[in-house]
Amino acid sequence: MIRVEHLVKTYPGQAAEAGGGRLPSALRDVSMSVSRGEFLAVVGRSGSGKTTLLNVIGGLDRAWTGLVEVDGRDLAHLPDRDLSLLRNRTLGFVFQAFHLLPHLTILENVTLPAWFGTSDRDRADAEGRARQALERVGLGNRASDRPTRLSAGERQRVAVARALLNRPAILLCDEPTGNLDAATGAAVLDIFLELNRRDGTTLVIATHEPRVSEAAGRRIVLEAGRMVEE
Amino acid sequence: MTPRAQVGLIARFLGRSRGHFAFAGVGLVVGSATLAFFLALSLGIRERVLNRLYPVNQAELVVETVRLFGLGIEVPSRLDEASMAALRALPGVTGAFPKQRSRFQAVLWGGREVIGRDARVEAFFDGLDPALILDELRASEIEVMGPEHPGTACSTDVDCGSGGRCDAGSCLRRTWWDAFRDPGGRLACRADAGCPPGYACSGGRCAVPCGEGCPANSTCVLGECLRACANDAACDPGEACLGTAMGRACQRLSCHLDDARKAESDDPDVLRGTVVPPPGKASSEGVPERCPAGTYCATDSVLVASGACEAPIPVLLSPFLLEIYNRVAATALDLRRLSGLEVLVGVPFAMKYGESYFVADDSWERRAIRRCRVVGFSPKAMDFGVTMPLAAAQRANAMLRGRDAASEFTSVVVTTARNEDLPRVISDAKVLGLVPAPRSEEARKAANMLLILSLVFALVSLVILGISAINITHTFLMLVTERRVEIAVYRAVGARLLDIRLLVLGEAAALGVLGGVAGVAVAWALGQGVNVAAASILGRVPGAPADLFLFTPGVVLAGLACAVLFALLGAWVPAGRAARTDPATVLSQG
Repeated sequence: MIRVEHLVKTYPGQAAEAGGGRLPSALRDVSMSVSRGEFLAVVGRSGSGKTTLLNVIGGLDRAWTGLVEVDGRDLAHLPDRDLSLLRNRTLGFVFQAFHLLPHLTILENVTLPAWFGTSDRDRADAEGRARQALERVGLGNRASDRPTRLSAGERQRVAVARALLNRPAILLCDEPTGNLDAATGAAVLDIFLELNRRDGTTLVIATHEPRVSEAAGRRIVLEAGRMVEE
Repeated sequence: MTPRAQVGLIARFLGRSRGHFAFAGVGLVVGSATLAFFLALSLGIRERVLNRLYPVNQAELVVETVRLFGLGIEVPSRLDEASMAALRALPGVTGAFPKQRSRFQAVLWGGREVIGRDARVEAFFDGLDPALILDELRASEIEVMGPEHPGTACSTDVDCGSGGRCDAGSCLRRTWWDAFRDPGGRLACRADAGCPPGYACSGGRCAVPCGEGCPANSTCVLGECLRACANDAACDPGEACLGTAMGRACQRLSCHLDDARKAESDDPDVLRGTVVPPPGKASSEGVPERCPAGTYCATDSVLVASGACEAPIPVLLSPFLLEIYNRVAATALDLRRLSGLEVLVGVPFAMKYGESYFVADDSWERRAIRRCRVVGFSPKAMDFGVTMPLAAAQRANAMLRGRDAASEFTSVVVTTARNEDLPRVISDAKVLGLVPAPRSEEARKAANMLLILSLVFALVSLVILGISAINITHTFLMLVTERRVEIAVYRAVGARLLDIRLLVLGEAAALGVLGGVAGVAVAWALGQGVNVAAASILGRVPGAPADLFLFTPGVVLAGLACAVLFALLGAWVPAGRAARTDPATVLSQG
């Protein structure tokens, strides 16, 4: 489902300074793969390259070298149109900071991916799908609220519902429980586990929380941009 | 992203940021309003003032005058049919319409109906080809007298008042513009030299000879071309459709008054005289006893009581004449002022050829009285005199001064298919010794000046729009910065680079449309204000347009298009910056 080989990512400015040998690259020769329906935890301390790895796999970051294949497609050679379609249909993102749009209602936030679909039919039945997704994360009764009226845990569940709207095969989650208390985090984790077990959704979760990595079927550890353990 | 989704998102953006957009759009409104205002003003003045004098595809040419030691010498000496043929042969020329001024002295009297007593003044006139002016006459008549179909329902002509008629259940008001055509007439003569061009003297009167064949719909009767007819309606006023050896043809009715002095009478009944039946005809054979209604017995001269039935000559007046009358004559002579052009339409008057208040009169046998009627107004009419159909003027000049005078034209109006052909035609006409008439040249200079002013104001409006584009750039850069997280989320859920760029440009285009619509509306409202102000200043100027502005679809489109274009220009850089938003960086930040 996901194949990464010899991935190197360097941020602007790092290369010059790295030439002096003082700063490492964000990702250094990372190779890994994730099978369909697998739950992979990417573990490491802050700045270890977890988020960068997810951004590269999700096609949000395009400046890297190496090979990255998602659902059989080489991201390095995908034009923007196809890469955007991949993010819209195959991938779902959940961010640590939720990134809900405050001027939209919960329902509108969840239907957002449908606005960027390739046909108006996507949008026509988006509301129904959004309500289902909200029911699934337990927020069916908050559809007309604004995100600002929700707790952090509820916002993260809305973000999960948004990621699920187009029923993606792969869910990329960056510290999804990082801003949540233990109980709320556990509830969100339960949703991920259910998605993985019941729907067969491939999960790649970047985390530094042991309970999340323990729940995963497999884990890789990044340290200073290098994969040190699998 | 589908266009419909794009429109939906743009509408949301606009609603959210209306405060910013209202501020950014002020420049667009001012710029497009300025552009639309001056374009409409320029077009209005060109179309409603200058073009009434001379349309952009017309020019009046006169014989070039070379001034040598203070003396005017005209080269060539004549502007005649040969010159017309040469002009019509020039590339780009679609028509050449000659004009001819009166070549003799005359006086006129009349106007009792509108000013309370008859005015008696020296008369000047010229002749103009009706084909040149009929459309303009109709338009100005509708402007002054209202639509030809006022919308009043009717069952008979009586329901439509004086002069009106019932046309398919709806009243058709009396029209005058279509009366400006040669009413025809008969000229007594002693030799061909006393007849207009194309006529020969036959049996003491001028007739179209059959020598080179007759025109279409005419038949040769006793060496004279006469119009074939089925009934009197096919003939000119004053003619009757009578049987001849060659079939039925229109023949002008001969007549006589009781006394030659009766020709000066103002009693229409007296003026109709008695018809003299053609040889071998009698009243019972379709020959009326008196000149038909609407015609009068036009005597050959003031010395004789015999003549032919003719309709009054239709004439046009210049709007400036009315202004001069109101401002000068009416005040000085304590005459009734005239409220508007329409009160003069239909007014009859008489003209006596050969007499003058300034110079010696012509011989008695040359003097003759002809009746006229005002049928319209045109800036192309003589400022100090009246304008009649060219053929009527030629007939009058031939009567008093002979064929040579009737053959020579005073000026010619040339028309071209395309505006841009006119300068070349004017240049080519110079070879023929013809140059633009002063009035035509002034109109052209005014049009050029107007063009320059329009360009200057268009430039000013473009500068305003340019400044507004810079303002839009700043506003949109600020908005793009504010929305960077939103844009990054869009990218994460599937928005293409192009989608982001189009969203920003779409907002700018919508802002441009709104600004353009508001701008054109402001321009229109300002125009109405200027019209009201101008009406209070120019209200007494006859022929002054009620609306100085011409908001054509082109003007509206130009206002809108420029607003949209500059809004897009202003948003171009912000749209690029929005598209370059790095979602990975933005979304990784908390």
